[in-house]
Amino acid sequence: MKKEYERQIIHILLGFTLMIIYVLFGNEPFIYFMSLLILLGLILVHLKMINYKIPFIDQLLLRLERPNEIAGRGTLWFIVGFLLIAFFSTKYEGIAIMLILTLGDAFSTIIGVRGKRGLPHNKQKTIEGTLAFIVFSLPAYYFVPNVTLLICIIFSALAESLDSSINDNVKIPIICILIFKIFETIPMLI
Amino acid sequence: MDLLVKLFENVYFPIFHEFSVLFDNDNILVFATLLLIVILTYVFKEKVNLPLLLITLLLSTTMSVLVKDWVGAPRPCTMGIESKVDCPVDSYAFPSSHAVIGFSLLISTLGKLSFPFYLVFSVLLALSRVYLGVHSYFDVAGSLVLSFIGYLIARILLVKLRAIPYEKRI
Repeated sequence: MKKEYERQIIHILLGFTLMIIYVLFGNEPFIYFMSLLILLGLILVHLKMINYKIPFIDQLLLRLERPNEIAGRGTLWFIVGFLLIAFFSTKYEGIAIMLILTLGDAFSTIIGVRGKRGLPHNKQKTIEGTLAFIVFSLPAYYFVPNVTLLICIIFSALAESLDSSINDNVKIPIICILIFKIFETIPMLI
Repeated sequence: MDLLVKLFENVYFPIFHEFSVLFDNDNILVFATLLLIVILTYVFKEKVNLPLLLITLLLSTTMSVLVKDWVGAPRPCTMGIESKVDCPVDSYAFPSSHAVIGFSLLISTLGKLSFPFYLVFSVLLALSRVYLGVHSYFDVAGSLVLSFIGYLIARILLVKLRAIPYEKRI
Protein backbone atom coordinates (compact mmCIF):
# COMPACT_ATOMS: atom_id res chain seq x y z
CA MET A 1 0.00 0.00 0.00
CA LYS A 2 2.81 2.41 0.98
CA LYS A 3 4.59 1.63 -2.28
CA GLU A 4 1.42 2.45 -4.25
CA TYR A 5 1.13 5.83 -2.45
CA GLU A 6 4.76 6.61 -3.25
CA ARG A 7 4.12 5.66 -6.87
CA GLN A 8 1.18 8.02 -7.09
CA ILE A 9 3.05 10.89 -5.41
CA ILE A 10 5.82 10.51 -8.00
CA HIS A 11 3.09 10.39 -10.68
CA ILE A 12 1.66 13.71 -9.45
CA LEU A 13 5.08 15.37 -9.08
CA LEU A 14 6.15 14.28 -12.56
CA GLY A 15 2.84 15.41 -14.01
CA PHE A 16 3.09 18.86 -12.45
CA THR A 17 6.75 19.23 -13.47
CA LEU A 18 5.91 18.47 -17.10
CA MET A 19 2.88 20.77 -16.93
CA ILE A 20 5.04 23.64 -15.65
CA ILE A 21 7.53 23.08 -18.49
CA TYR A 22 4.60 23.10 -20.96
CA VAL A 23 3.16 26.34 -19.56
CA LEU A 24 6.48 28.17 -19.11
CA PHE A 25 8.25 27.24 -22.33
CA GLY A 26 5.34 26.66 -24.74
CA ASN A 27 4.48 23.92 -27.15
CA GLU A 28 7.55 23.72 -29.37
CA PRO A 29 10.31 23.49 -26.70
CA PHE A 30 8.05 21.07 -24.82
CA ILE A 31 7.85 18.79 -27.87
CA TYR A 32 11.65 18.95 -28.28
CA PHE A 33 12.13 18.04 -24.62
CA MET A 34 9.50 15.29 -24.49
CA SER A 35 10.60 13.53 -27.67
CA LEU A 36 14.18 13.39 -26.40
CA LEU A 37 12.88 12.15 -23.05
CA ILE A 38 10.96 9.39 -24.83
CA LEU A 39 14.07 8.26 -26.69
CA LEU A 40 15.98 8.19 -23.41
CA GLY A 41 13.06 6.35 -21.78
CA LEU A 42 13.01 3.76 -24.56
CA ILE A 43 16.73 3.12 -24.04
CA LEU A 44 16.28 2.75 -20.26
CA VAL A 45 13.25 0.45 -20.60
CA HIS A 46 15.17 -1.64 -23.13
CA LEU A 47 18.15 -1.94 -20.78
CA LYS A 48 15.83 -3.05 -17.96
CA MET A 49 14.08 -5.56 -20.25
CA ILE A 50 17.42 -7.20 -20.98
CA ASN A 51 18.21 -7.14 -17.22
CA TYR A 52 20.99 -4.59 -17.47
CA LYS A 53 21.96 -3.12 -14.11
CA ILE A 54 21.70 0.67 -13.90
CA PRO A 55 22.86 2.25 -10.64
CA PHE A 56 20.36 4.57 -8.88
CA ILE A 57 17.63 3.86 -11.48
CA ASP A 58 17.45 0.25 -10.23
CA GLN A 59 16.96 1.35 -6.63
CA LEU A 60 14.28 3.81 -7.68
CA LEU A 61 12.45 1.19 -9.75
CA LEU A 62 12.70 -1.40 -6.97
CA ARG A 63 11.11 1.12 -4.63
CA LEU A 64 8.37 2.26 -6.97
CA GLU A 65 7.53 -0.30 -9.64
CA ARG A 66 4.63 -2.73 -9.33
CA PRO A 67 5.70 -6.39 -9.20
CA ASN A 68 5.54 -8.35 -12.49
CA GLU A 69 5.49 -5.17 -14.53
CA ILE A 70 8.11 -4.07 -17.05
CA ALA A 71 10.27 -1.46 -15.33
CA GLY A 72 9.54 2.05 -16.52
CA ARG A 73 6.52 1.01 -18.63
CA GLY A 74 4.05 3.33 -16.87
CA THR A 75 6.40 6.32 -16.94
CA LEU A 76 7.14 5.83 -20.63
CA TRP A 77 3.43 5.78 -21.51
CA PHE A 78 2.90 8.80 -19.24
CA ILE A 79 5.44 10.80 -21.24
CA VAL A 80 3.99 9.54 -24.54
CA GLY A 81 0.56 10.67 -23.30
CA PHE A 82 1.89 14.16 -22.57
CA LEU A 83 3.52 14.37 -26.00
CA LEU A 84 0.25 13.28 -27.59
CA ILE A 85 -1.53 16.08 -25.74
CA ALA A 86 1.07 18.65 -26.85
CA PHE A 87 0.55 17.65 -30.50
CA PHE A 88 -3.19 17.41 -30.74
CA SER A 89 -4.58 19.94 -28.21
CA THR A 90 -4.77 23.68 -27.84
CA LYS A 91 -2.91 25.17 -24.87
CA TYR A 92 -5.77 25.25 -22.36
CA GLU A 93 -7.27 21.96 -23.48
CA GLY A 94 -3.80 20.51 -23.09
CA ILE A 95 -3.41 21.79 -19.53
CA ALA A 96 -6.88 20.45 -18.67
CA ILE A 97 -6.12 16.96 -20.03
CA MET A 98 -2.74 16.98 -18.27
CA LEU A 99 -4.52 17.79 -14.99
CA ILE A 100 -7.00 14.95 -15.49
CA LEU A 101 -4.15 12.57 -16.25
CA THR A 102 -2.09 13.77 -13.30
CA LEU A 103 -4.67 14.26 -10.54
CA GLY A 104 -7.64 12.12 -11.57
CA ASP A 105 -5.63 9.02 -12.36
CA ALA A 106 -3.44 9.30 -9.23
CA PHE A 107 -6.27 9.95 -6.75
CA SER A 108 -8.46 7.23 -8.24
CA THR A 109 -5.73 4.80 -7.16
CA ILE A 110 -4.99 6.45 -3.79
CA ILE A 111 -8.66 6.48 -2.77
CA GLY A 112 -9.71 3.47 -4.83
CA VAL A 113 -7.43 1.01 -3.00
CA ARG A 114 -9.19 1.93 0.28
CA GLY A 115 -12.65 1.58 -1.28
CA LYS A 116 -14.99 -1.26 -0.36
CA ARG A 117 -17.64 -1.23 -3.09
CA GLY A 118 -16.55 -2.91 -6.32
CA LEU A 119 -17.74 -1.64 -9.69
CA PRO A 120 -20.44 -3.79 -11.37
CA HIS A 121 -18.33 -4.24 -14.53
CA ASN A 122 -14.95 -4.63 -12.82
CA LYS A 123 -14.62 -5.96 -9.28
CA GLN A 124 -10.91 -5.04 -9.21
CA LYS A 125 -11.84 -1.34 -9.22
CA THR A 126 -14.06 0.47 -6.72
CA ILE A 127 -16.86 3.01 -6.94
CA GLU A 128 -14.87 5.24 -4.56
CA GLY A 129 -11.90 5.20 -6.96
CA THR A 130 -14.02 6.17 -9.96
CA LEU A 131 -15.73 8.97 -7.99
CA ALA A 132 -12.31 10.20 -6.81
CA PHE A 133 -11.18 10.29 -10.44
CA ILE A 134 -14.11 12.56 -11.32
CA VAL A 135 -13.80 14.84 -8.27
CA PHE A 136 -10.03 15.31 -8.48
CA SER A 137 -10.23 15.97 -12.24
CA LEU A 138 -12.57 18.90 -11.69
CA PRO A 139 -9.77 21.53 -11.28
CA ALA A 140 -9.33 21.08 -15.05
CA TYR A 141 -12.69 22.87 -15.45
CA TYR A 142 -10.93 26.11 -14.49
CA PHE A 143 -8.96 25.97 -17.77
CA VAL A 144 -11.73 24.73 -20.05
CA PRO A 145 -15.06 25.73 -18.49
CA ASN A 146 -17.48 23.88 -20.73
CA VAL A 147 -19.56 20.72 -21.01
CA THR A 148 -17.04 19.04 -23.30
CA LEU A 149 -14.54 18.85 -20.47
CA LEU A 150 -17.07 17.26 -18.12
CA ILE A 151 -17.88 14.67 -20.79
CA CYS A 152 -14.16 14.07 -21.21
CA ILE A 153 -13.77 13.54 -17.43
CA ILE A 154 -16.68 11.10 -17.24
CA PHE A 155 -15.52 9.07 -20.25
CA SER A 156 -11.95 9.03 -18.91
CA ALA A 157 -13.20 7.81 -15.51
CA LEU A 158 -15.17 5.05 -17.25
CA ALA A 159 -12.17 4.09 -19.39
CA GLU A 160 -9.93 4.05 -16.33
CA SER A 161 -12.35 1.70 -14.57
CA LEU A 162 -12.22 -0.83 -17.41
CA ASP A 163 -9.74 -3.65 -17.32
CA SER A 164 -7.66 -3.37 -20.48
CA SER A 165 -4.14 -3.92 -21.72
CA ILE A 166 -3.86 -0.25 -22.74
CA ASN A 167 -2.10 1.89 -20.16
CA ASP A 168 -4.30 4.60 -18.56
CA ASN A 169 -1.57 7.17 -19.23
CA VAL A 170 -2.22 6.92 -22.95
CA LYS A 171 -5.88 5.85 -22.84
CA ILE A 172 -7.02 9.05 -21.06
CA PRO A 173 -5.28 11.53 -23.44
CA ILE A 174 -6.58 9.67 -26.52
CA ILE A 175 -10.16 9.73 -25.19
CA CYS A 176 -10.04 13.41 -24.23
CA ILE A 177 -8.38 14.52 -27.48
CA LEU A 178 -11.01 12.61 -29.50
CA ILE A 179 -13.86 14.12 -27.45
CA PHE A 180 -12.49 17.66 -27.88
CA LYS A 181 -12.03 17.09 -31.63
CA ILE A 182 -15.55 15.65 -32.04
CA PHE A 183 -17.15 18.52 -30.11
CA GLU A 184 -15.14 21.06 -32.11
CA THR A 185 -17.09 19.93 -35.14
CA ILE A 186 -20.44 20.44 -33.41
CA PRO A 187 -19.94 23.81 -31.63
CA MET A 188 -23.62 24.37 -30.92
CA LEU A 189 -23.56 21.69 -28.26
CA ILE A 190 -20.70 23.26 -26.28
CA MET B 1 10.30 27.50 -38.49
CA ASP B 2 11.93 25.33 -35.90
CA LEU B 3 15.43 25.68 -34.61
CA LEU B 4 16.92 22.43 -35.90
CA VAL B 5 15.83 23.01 -39.51
CA LYS B 6 17.46 26.44 -39.46
CA LEU B 7 20.56 25.00 -37.81
CA PHE B 8 20.89 22.33 -40.50
CA GLU B 9 20.10 24.65 -43.42
CA ASN B 10 23.62 25.85 -44.07
CA VAL B 11 25.67 22.91 -42.84
CA TYR B 12 27.11 20.03 -44.82
CA PHE B 13 28.23 16.67 -43.37
CA PRO B 14 29.67 14.63 -46.31
CA ILE B 15 28.89 11.08 -45.10
CA PHE B 16 25.59 11.98 -43.50
CA HIS B 17 24.66 13.91 -46.64
CA GLU B 18 25.18 10.80 -48.78
CA PHE B 19 23.13 8.71 -46.34
CA SER B 20 20.32 11.29 -46.31
CA VAL B 21 20.15 11.63 -50.08
CA LEU B 22 20.27 7.85 -50.55
CA PHE B 23 17.41 7.22 -48.10
CA ASP B 24 15.36 10.08 -49.52
CA ASN B 25 14.57 7.70 -52.37
CA ASP B 26 11.44 5.75 -51.34
CA ASN B 27 12.39 2.58 -53.21
CA ILE B 28 15.80 2.45 -51.57
CA LEU B 29 14.23 3.10 -48.16
CA VAL B 30 11.72 0.27 -48.51
CA PHE B 31 14.33 -2.14 -49.87
CA ALA B 32 16.91 -1.25 -47.18
CA THR B 33 14.32 -1.46 -44.40
CA LEU B 34 13.12 -4.91 -45.49
CA LEU B 35 16.70 -6.08 -45.87
CA LEU B 36 17.54 -4.80 -42.38
CA ILE B 37 14.51 -6.57 -40.91
CA VAL B 38 15.41 -9.86 -42.61
CA ILE B 39 19.08 -9.70 -41.57
CA LEU B 40 18.46 -8.68 -37.95
CA THR B 41 15.59 -11.17 -37.52
CA TYR B 42 17.80 -13.95 -38.84
CA VAL B 43 20.96 -12.99 -36.93
CA PHE B 44 19.23 -12.50 -33.57
CA LYS B 45 16.63 -15.27 -34.09
CA GLU B 46 13.70 -12.92 -33.51
CA LYS B 47 11.15 -14.62 -35.75
CA VAL B 48 8.60 -14.61 -32.91
CA ASN B 49 8.65 -10.80 -32.85
CA LEU B 50 8.12 -10.48 -36.60
CA PRO B 51 4.26 -10.24 -36.59
CA LEU B 52 4.32 -7.40 -34.06
CA LEU B 53 7.05 -5.59 -35.97
CA LEU B 54 5.38 -5.92 -39.38
CA ILE B 55 1.87 -5.05 -38.16
CA THR B 56 3.20 -2.01 -36.27
CA LEU B 57 5.06 -0.92 -39.40
CA LEU B 58 1.99 -1.39 -41.61
CA LEU B 59 -0.42 0.41 -39.26
CA SER B 60 1.93 3.30 -38.49
CA THR B 61 2.78 4.01 -42.11
CA THR B 62 -0.89 3.79 -43.14
CA MET B 63 -1.81 6.22 -40.35
CA SER B 64 1.01 8.56 -41.35
CA VAL B 65 -0.40 8.81 -44.89
CA LEU B 66 -3.89 9.56 -43.51
CA VAL B 67 -2.64 12.10 -40.94
CA LYS B 68 -0.57 13.89 -43.61
CA ASP B 69 -3.71 14.71 -45.59
CA TRP B 70 -5.74 15.46 -42.45
CA VAL B 71 -3.24 17.94 -40.98
CA GLY B 72 -2.00 19.35 -44.30
CA ALA B 73 1.16 20.92 -42.85
CA PRO B 74 3.49 22.57 -45.39
CA ARG B 75 7.06 21.39 -45.77
CA PRO B 76 9.92 23.62 -44.51
CA CYS B 77 11.30 23.76 -48.06
CA THR B 78 8.10 25.46 -49.24
CA MET B 79 8.48 28.09 -46.51
CA GLY B 80 11.83 29.62 -47.31
CA ILE B 81 14.16 26.86 -46.12
CA GLU B 82 16.57 25.68 -48.79
CA SER B 83 16.33 21.89 -49.16
CA LYS B 84 19.29 19.73 -50.14
CA VAL B 85 17.14 17.59 -52.47
CA ASP B 86 14.17 18.37 -54.72
CA CYS B 87 11.43 19.70 -52.46
CA PRO B 88 8.43 17.31 -52.55
CA VAL B 89 5.86 20.08 -52.96
CA ASP B 90 3.07 17.68 -53.91
CA SER B 91 2.89 16.09 -50.42
CA TYR B 92 2.46 17.37 -46.87
CA ALA B 93 5.01 17.35 -44.06
CA PHE B 94 3.40 16.19 -40.81
CA PRO B 95 4.30 13.48 -39.86
CA SER B 96 7.46 12.22 -41.55
CA SER B 97 6.73 8.79 -43.06
CA HIS B 98 10.46 8.01 -43.18
CA ALA B 99 10.72 8.63 -39.43
CA VAL B 100 7.54 6.61 -38.80
CA ILE B 101 9.20 3.60 -40.43
CA GLY B 102 12.30 3.94 -38.25
CA PHE B 103 10.44 4.53 -34.99
CA SER B 104 7.97 1.69 -35.61
CA LEU B 105 10.88 -0.72 -35.91
CA LEU B 106 12.45 0.77 -32.80
CA ILE B 107 9.38 0.53 -30.56
CA SER B 108 8.37 -2.95 -31.67
CA THR B 109 11.83 -4.37 -30.94
CA LEU B 110 12.08 -2.99 -27.41
CA GLY B 111 13.78 -5.57 -25.19
CA LYS B 112 15.18 -7.44 -28.20
CA LEU B 113 18.84 -7.72 -29.20
CA SER B 114 18.19 -5.94 -32.49
CA PHE B 115 16.97 -2.80 -30.67
CA PRO B 116 20.33 -0.90 -30.70
CA PHE B 117 20.61 -1.34 -34.47
CA TYR B 118 17.11 -0.01 -35.04
CA LEU B 119 17.87 2.84 -32.61
CA VAL B 120 20.81 4.01 -34.74
CA PHE B 121 18.83 3.49 -37.97
CA SER B 122 15.73 5.38 -36.76
CA VAL B 123 17.63 8.33 -35.27
CA LEU B 124 19.76 8.73 -38.41
CA LEU B 125 16.70 8.43 -40.64
CA ALA B 126 14.75 10.99 -38.59
CA LEU B 127 17.63 13.47 -38.49
CA SER B 128 18.26 13.03 -42.22
CA ARG B 129 14.77 14.38 -42.98
CA VAL B 130 15.44 17.55 -40.98
CA TYR B 131 18.95 17.83 -42.44
CA LEU B 132 17.58 17.70 -45.99
CA GLY B 133 15.08 20.45 -45.18
CA VAL B 134 12.03 18.40 -46.18
CA HIS B 135 10.72 18.02 -42.61
CA SER B 136 10.86 19.99 -39.39
CA TYR B 137 11.75 18.49 -36.00
CA PHE B 138 8.06 18.85 -35.18
CA ASP B 139 7.16 16.44 -38.04
CA VAL B 140 9.73 13.93 -36.87
CA ALA B 141 8.57 14.07 -33.23
CA GLY B 142 5.00 13.58 -34.47
CA SER B 143 6.18 10.40 -36.16
CA LEU B 144 7.36 9.10 -32.80
CA VAL B 145 3.88 9.58 -31.30
CA LEU B 146 2.21 8.00 -34.32
CA SER B 147 4.53 4.99 -34.14
CA PHE B 148 3.54 4.49 -30.50
CA ILE B 149 -0.15 4.53 -31.50
CA GLY B 150 0.55 2.07 -34.32
CA TYR B 151 2.39 -0.17 -31.88
CA LEU B 152 -0.46 0.05 -29.37
CA ILE B 153 -3.06 -1.03 -31.94
CA ALA B 154 -0.80 -3.81 -33.23
CA ARG B 155 -0.24 -5.07 -29.69
CA ILE B 156 -3.99 -5.05 -28.92
CA LEU B 157 -4.66 -7.02 -32.12
CA LEU B 158 -1.99 -9.60 -31.35
CA VAL B 159 -3.01 -9.95 -27.69
CA LYS B 160 -6.61 -10.54 -28.84
CA LEU B 161 -5.35 -13.18 -31.26
CA ARG B 162 -3.28 -14.60 -28.38
CA ALA B 163 -0.18 -14.24 -30.54
CA ILE B 164 1.73 -12.42 -27.75
CA PRO B 165 1.25 -12.15 -23.99
CA TYR B 166 0.84 -8.46 -23.20
CA GLU B 167 2.75 -8.67 -19.91
CA LYS B 168 5.95 -9.14 -21.89
CA ARG B 169 5.52 -5.95 -23.91
CA ILE B 170 5.37 -2.29 -22.93
